[in-house]
Amino acid sequence: MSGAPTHESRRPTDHGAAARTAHLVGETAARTARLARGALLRRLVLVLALTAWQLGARAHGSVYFPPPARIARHAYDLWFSGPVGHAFLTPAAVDTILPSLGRMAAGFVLAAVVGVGLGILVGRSPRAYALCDPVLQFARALPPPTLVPVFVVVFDFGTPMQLASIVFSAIWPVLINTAEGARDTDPLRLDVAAVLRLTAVERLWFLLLPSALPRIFAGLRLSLSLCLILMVFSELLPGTANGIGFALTDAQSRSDLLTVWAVLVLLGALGYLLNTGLLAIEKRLTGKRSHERRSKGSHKSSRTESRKGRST
Amino acid sequence: MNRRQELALGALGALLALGACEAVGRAGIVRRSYLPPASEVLARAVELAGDRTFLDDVAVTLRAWALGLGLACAIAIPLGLLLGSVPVVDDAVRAVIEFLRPLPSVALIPLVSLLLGTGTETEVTLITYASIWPILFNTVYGLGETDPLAKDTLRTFGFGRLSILLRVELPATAPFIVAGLRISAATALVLATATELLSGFGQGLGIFIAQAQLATDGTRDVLAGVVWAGVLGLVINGVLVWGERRAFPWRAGARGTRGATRAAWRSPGGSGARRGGSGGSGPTASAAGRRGGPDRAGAHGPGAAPPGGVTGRPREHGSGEAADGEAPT
Amino acid sequence: MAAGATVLALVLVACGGGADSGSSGDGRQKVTVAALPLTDAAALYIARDRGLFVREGLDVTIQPVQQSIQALPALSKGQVDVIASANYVTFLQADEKGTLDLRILAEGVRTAPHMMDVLVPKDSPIKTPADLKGKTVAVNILNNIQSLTLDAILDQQGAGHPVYRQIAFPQMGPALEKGQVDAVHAVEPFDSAIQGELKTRVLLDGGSAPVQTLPISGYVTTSAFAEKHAKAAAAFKRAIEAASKIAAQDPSAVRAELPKYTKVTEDQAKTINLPAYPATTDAAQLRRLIELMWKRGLLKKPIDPATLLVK
Repeated sequence: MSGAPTHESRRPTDHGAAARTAHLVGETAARTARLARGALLRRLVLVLALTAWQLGARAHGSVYFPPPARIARHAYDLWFSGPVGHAFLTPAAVDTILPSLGRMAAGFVLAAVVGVGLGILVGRSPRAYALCDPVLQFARALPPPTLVPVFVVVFDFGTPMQLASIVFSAIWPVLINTAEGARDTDPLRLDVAAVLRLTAVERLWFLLLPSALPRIFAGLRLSLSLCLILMVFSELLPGTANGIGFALTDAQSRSDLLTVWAVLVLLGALGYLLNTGLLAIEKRLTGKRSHERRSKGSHKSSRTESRKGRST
Repeated sequence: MNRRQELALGALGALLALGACEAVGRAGIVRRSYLPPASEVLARAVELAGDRTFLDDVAVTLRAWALGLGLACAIAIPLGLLLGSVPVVDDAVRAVIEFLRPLPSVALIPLVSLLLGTGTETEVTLITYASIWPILFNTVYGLGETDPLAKDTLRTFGFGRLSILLRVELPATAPFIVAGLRISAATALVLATATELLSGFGQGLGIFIAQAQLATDGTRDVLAGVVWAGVLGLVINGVLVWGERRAFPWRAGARGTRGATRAAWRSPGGSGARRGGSGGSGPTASAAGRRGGPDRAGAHGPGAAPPGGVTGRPREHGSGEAADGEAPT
Repeated sequence: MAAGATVLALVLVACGGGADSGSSGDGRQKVTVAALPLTDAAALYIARDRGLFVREGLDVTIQPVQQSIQALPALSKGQVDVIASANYVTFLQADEKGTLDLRILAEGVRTAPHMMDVLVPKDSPIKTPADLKGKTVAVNILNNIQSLTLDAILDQQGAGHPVYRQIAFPQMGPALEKGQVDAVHAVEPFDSAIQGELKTRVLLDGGSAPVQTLPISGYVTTSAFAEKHAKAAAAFKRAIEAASKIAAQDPSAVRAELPKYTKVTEDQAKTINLPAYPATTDAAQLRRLIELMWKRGLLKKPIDPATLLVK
């Protein structure tokens, strides 16, 4: 509120507060506008890209790159045109998608629980950490797809093999990250816990887990993407009988490119949804603190990067 | 616990693990042909080192791996520099990238196999595709982390945009790029073996494993092949970490010798030492530097800059992930 | 961007033309053939070893593959000119879907008695074909010739269908032994090998009515090759048909050839059941196969095989 000094405006606090508020409002407006513009631009580019693909595929007519509209329709026909009672899923979808998702979910939960549990144990004890370190490093260096034949031979094709593959690959990031997170607990806080005579469980719940949580989530995100990869890959091997990956190879052997593309789109959507979900959970659990720390003073692009996190 | 004790314990741990595998294998809990004891597997792995055909297979895999990785660098680094420098392009392209990112690259194997067959072309294409992402993201992130003061300084001296890019941003981004390269190297190995496992015929480490899987008593060969794959992964990672430390010794300070970092933080009245994870992350970061696995990529610990220095942002490990660019396959 | 560049490269490759089949130094037409190490490709090797290709003025190079579908992209791009022992079901489907413009040069094999059998363990409770209903049967590729023919046989007998599981031929023996499947549908030489190694009995002849003398695999090429090198295609067809005639009249020729390009030993080669090697290509028989495929939903519309044959 500038202008001629009147009686009212001579009060310094009012003037300052009003100016500050105005400034704040203006800044927020500008930032919102910038963000909105950015978001709009991104959506626009996405729409443009899809349109270009559609037109190009239509014009060229190559059987290997069908237009997105056809792919979407085919996916709908295959999986989502079912009765309302089944959440619109067709029987094919129920047979194909749900078992795969179930296996992946089970594998992820198992890997997470065991990984966090073992990670805390290993992390708290420097001796245990040193003991397990080489083994963990080796296990992490193994390319996960190479483990699948091992489990095929041991378990034969089917759910046990897939679960084992998923768990044995996805557990390492969680384990290692949790261990390191547990190791890095603030010594001051540990001292306080000792002073307060917290029990081991209390220490775990109130101190270790929360402080390690950002690292644990980093490991979980990596683990989730590994679960998706292993779920698909273990079903790609010849010999599987059902699942998303199987739908992929089956379509490949029939030269059914439309289905191949439909499955790819489904997997992309799945990966995106899962990652967003995990990020949402992380945000809820770790709270705004870590995000503030992350974005403080960072460049805008890196901020977007960290916010989007790892979608894979 | 000093270094030697750690190493001793580590060796002990490895031996214990091997012993456990041996016991399980010999106890007959699982049938011998299902899960041979560890000693047999290791013996076979060593035996394979002298097998000409096997070594040829490994060479083929490594060649495809190197080619794919090289192509990925050639595409991702310039692209990343472009995206990082021109925010508008970055924003525009980001939507499409976020669309493509969640898709596991292994899922592309059937499609690309239909297009290109089951030869090296498919393998290299897939490796390149999967390896582009970590390098790309790390390059973009690294550009974002460049010290703006240095850029401004050069600008005041009249250097042009491209010059600034080459003289300041590229060297500053280089450590990030190499960290991304390290992740990509692991990803490339994963894709190489995965493609070979699925194609099942031809030459390569994955094909050796796939054919051993089909053979009646092939578990030993499968496991020996897997051991080789793990060792390859370790060696590649180790070489890259070593190269990274040689090329960027100042960042070695971040990963640091453990004593040095810890001493720095334990200075009297060093309330800075109480800065949460800093003290702990010194050894962690250095341990990370030693292994430098994917989880730690870009985890430039707090030691990277003196506290309250020019870039004195508290680098929580959360922020380190942004540089991970973890799009593993 | 990155993905776009890769996609662009793939598009260019997909629609790019294939390599040209040149002539070798002495004026003979070069032809590259991909072949499976199965009895199906015997005529090819007979033709090579008896100089039939040379007589027709062809210089044939043979590339081994494990599954004919693996060579499909190479065929459509022209890196390979002909695929021997190409699985008709796979290639007809590819033709219908548009990934390949198929031409059939010559027939390869047709079913013959006991060239493929459904085997069960000797002590299995499955005694008649009707018992197969709902049980697991191992086949080499799902929704392909084996499940097609077996379902047709069972339908003829009024029996129910089994559940199929994909297991590669070499793994079928161990799978049967471990009890992972109730029965296996094995083709020679695995058929005899499994019967020799394990205690099994033959439940059903895979080549019985109504799929007797049904075409299984053949020599396929693209329309591009057939048009551009019509003379070579015709020459190849003549050579193969002559070799098939030899194979049909003199099985010992086939038995002598098998150990050279498959993992079959000489002793095994003497006793296995051979498929039928037709000396001419009969569109009517192919039509039977296509009808069967169409009825079971493997093809959307019946294709007229006469349009696919190369004269």
